[in-house]
Amino acid sequence: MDQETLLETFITEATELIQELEIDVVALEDSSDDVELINRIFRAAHTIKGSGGLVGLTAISDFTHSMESVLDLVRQRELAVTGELVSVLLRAVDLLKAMIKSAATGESCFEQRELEFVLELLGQFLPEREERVDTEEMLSTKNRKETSYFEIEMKLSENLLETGTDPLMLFRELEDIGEIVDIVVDARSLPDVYNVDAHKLYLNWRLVLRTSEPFSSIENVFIFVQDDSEISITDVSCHYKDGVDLRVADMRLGEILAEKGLVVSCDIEEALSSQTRIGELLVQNGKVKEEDVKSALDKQLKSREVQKATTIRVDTDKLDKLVNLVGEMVIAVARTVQQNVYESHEGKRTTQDALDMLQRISGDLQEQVMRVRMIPVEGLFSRFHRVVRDLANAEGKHVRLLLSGTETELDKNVVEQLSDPLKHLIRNSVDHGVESPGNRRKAGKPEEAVVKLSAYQQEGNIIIEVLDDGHGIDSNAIVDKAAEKGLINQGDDLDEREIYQLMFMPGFSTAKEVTEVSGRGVGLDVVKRNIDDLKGSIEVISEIGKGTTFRIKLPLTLAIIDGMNVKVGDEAFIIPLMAIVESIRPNREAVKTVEGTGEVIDARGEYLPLVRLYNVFDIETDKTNPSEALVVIVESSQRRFGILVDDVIGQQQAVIKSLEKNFRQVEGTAGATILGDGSVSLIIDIHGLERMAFKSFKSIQVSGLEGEAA
Amino acid sequence: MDKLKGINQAISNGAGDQFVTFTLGEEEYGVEVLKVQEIIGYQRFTKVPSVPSFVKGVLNLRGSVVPVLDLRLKFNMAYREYDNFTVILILEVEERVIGVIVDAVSDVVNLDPDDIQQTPDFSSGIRVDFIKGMGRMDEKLIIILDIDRILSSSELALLDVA
Repeated sequence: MDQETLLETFITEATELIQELEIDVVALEDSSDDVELINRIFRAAHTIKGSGGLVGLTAISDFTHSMESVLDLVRQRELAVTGELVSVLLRAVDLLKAMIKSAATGESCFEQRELEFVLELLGQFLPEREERVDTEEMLSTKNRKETSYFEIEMKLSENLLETGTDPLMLFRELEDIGEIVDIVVDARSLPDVYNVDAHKLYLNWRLVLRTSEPFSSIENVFIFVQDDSEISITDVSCHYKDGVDLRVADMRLGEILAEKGLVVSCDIEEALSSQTRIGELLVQNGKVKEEDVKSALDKQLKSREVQKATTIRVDTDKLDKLVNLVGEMVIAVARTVQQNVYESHEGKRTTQDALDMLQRISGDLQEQVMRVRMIPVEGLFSRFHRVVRDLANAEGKHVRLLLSGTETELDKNVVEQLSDPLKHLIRNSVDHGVESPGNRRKAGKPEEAVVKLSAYQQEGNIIIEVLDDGHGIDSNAIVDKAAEKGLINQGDDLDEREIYQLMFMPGFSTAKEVTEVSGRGVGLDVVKRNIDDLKGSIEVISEIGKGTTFRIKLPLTLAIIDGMNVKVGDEAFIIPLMAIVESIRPNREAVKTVEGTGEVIDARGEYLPLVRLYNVFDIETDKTNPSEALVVIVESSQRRFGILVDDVIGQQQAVIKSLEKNFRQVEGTAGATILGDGSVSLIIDIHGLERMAFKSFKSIQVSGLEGEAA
Repeated sequence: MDKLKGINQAISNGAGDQFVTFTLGEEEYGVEVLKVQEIIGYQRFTKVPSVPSFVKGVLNLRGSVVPVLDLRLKFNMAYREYDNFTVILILEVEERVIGVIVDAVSDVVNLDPDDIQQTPDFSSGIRVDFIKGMGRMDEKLIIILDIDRILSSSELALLDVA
């Protein structure tokens, strides 16, 4: 691996680790006794420190070293977990993020002043002697204070080098915490030069380290190699005086021989097997209880088992291509099957059977391939603990974030693109949704408010809900506000759903005062646009005094959609099934022209705007009379409307192909797909089409807003 | 369409100073062979709404959706009915794959850099900045097009996305 790939790997891994670190640190506040949690936090910091140093990012590794020192105290139970500590750690995590971003982009994303300040904050938690560990002077005073000698036997795994670990690193780390006063290399397993495999490690070491650091610091050095290597650390301070091994005086001949490498290897193996393990040693030394060691060993065993289910990193581009190809295959198979049914005569039974099987297998294959791209929403959801914590603290509210359905899986791209809108909605709930503790008391509610984030599957869609138990949204206030902003006319007859949809219009914000975090004018319209981009929809359910729910409905994947194939003139289009309410063939009287507004269609008593697709897309067709054609009723987040098409061909799955890749975004479309006959068909973007068709309506709104701003 | 096969063979073996030549009206044009992926016969494509008139639509090229332009319309020449000679040059520009409709394809030719003159006074009705130079081939003149410029994002109106 060259330095650059190494750096890239570090950045990817460190970014993931920091995400987990952040979640864990927030969780620490509530469960400060969770040993496993504390260890996980410590390990994350340690890993970033180690690998940061490995790729030469000394600033990052130095900084995480300071974090690690504080975390170590927590781990040793010498430092209690307080809200203050969590805040400082979170600030350090933020800085660490910025530092890694700096490393990734090559631009400086943080201020030196902030670094110094955070270091100082961290320093406050450290006892005096821990300050400024790195100066030579401090080291020597520490040595005088309390020096111990540890004998370390390193029987390293033969494959150590392949994991990217360099034994030299281990020595350097040891030298960071002390002085190696004696070292013997065991080169007995080194084959002759012709048989040397450069990727294998043949050397083992035994060394004596003089240090004032505790036992655990030495263990930490070996944290990455201990799984497949045998590391034994013994406190031999009693045998050493002024750096001289007093044991040699009464050492047995055999031991001396073994050390000098004069004894055959099987004897060494035997000797090694009789060696005491770290855990037993710790018990002997009375440092830990036996059951603790046992549980630690169980955990180790478990984590090793988990590791056995190996994972590999795959470029998402490769996955996208795979998903695409499989999707096309499924469609091609479906077409072949259909063709065969039409042409079927006697003697074709076996072909049909084989085709059915092929169709089933390709369906399974598609499902599996799609699943590769799916990740649970847990990672995304957990991140919001931090958001809620910070925001609630800033506003003096007590808010508990509950998560449910975190195991629900979503396409990776969708998960990534959901982060911003969800963050916005959660902020919105904490900021505007829930009341202050005082007001909640008055309303007879518990002081602690609840914001609940849940995910579940429903009929091939994923539903994500942000729910709060706050004061709810007053629909009358929305109507007044919208009228005031000129978004609607006073006296417009709107049902509840339509009223709540007004909140998603650009420029609409019900927050009475502008707080630091939300209500800056950019509001729910951005959320809606993000959800539109994901081909999803959003709606609001609210009850005064009880709370508000924002419900987001998303397709399972972005790569394939279920669509209705419709015909206009010579062209075929796909309308996403998710948007379709029904299809109707209107009779002559059903279509009416409303002066200044356009055409409406009577759909079961409800008058809906009618959009003639051939007009909007400028296509020639002779089916211009609605009673000879078909109207597909669709529902966007703003309104329901009818799309006039020549005919409906049928339902089909469509693999979404980008138009942008070779061309550009085309208004009113969400990409293209390739039909069974090899021709290209455009996929209609309901929201885009709506914008094109109701352009005049929209421009009135925009000018109204501008007028208000000026 | 055996001629197409031969030319496509030549295109895939194409080297630095080779050019694919084609006709638009009376004139013969050339583009560097390295820009040309292949040439396909004229085929039906799907119309795309709200795009400039020279963009005829999109077609499926082995699973990719590729836009197709009519070079006559791009050059403001008169529209001509497509016929058996009409072909689509598949070009690669700025990492985009784009199809270009021309009247007919002629050949793959070698043009020595010495045989190409900088754009002289030439009244072809085509914008001068679309022309890279004039190639002389025996008695024929070949207008070498600056295809990167003709198919650049700004020329394709890629920027005015609604």
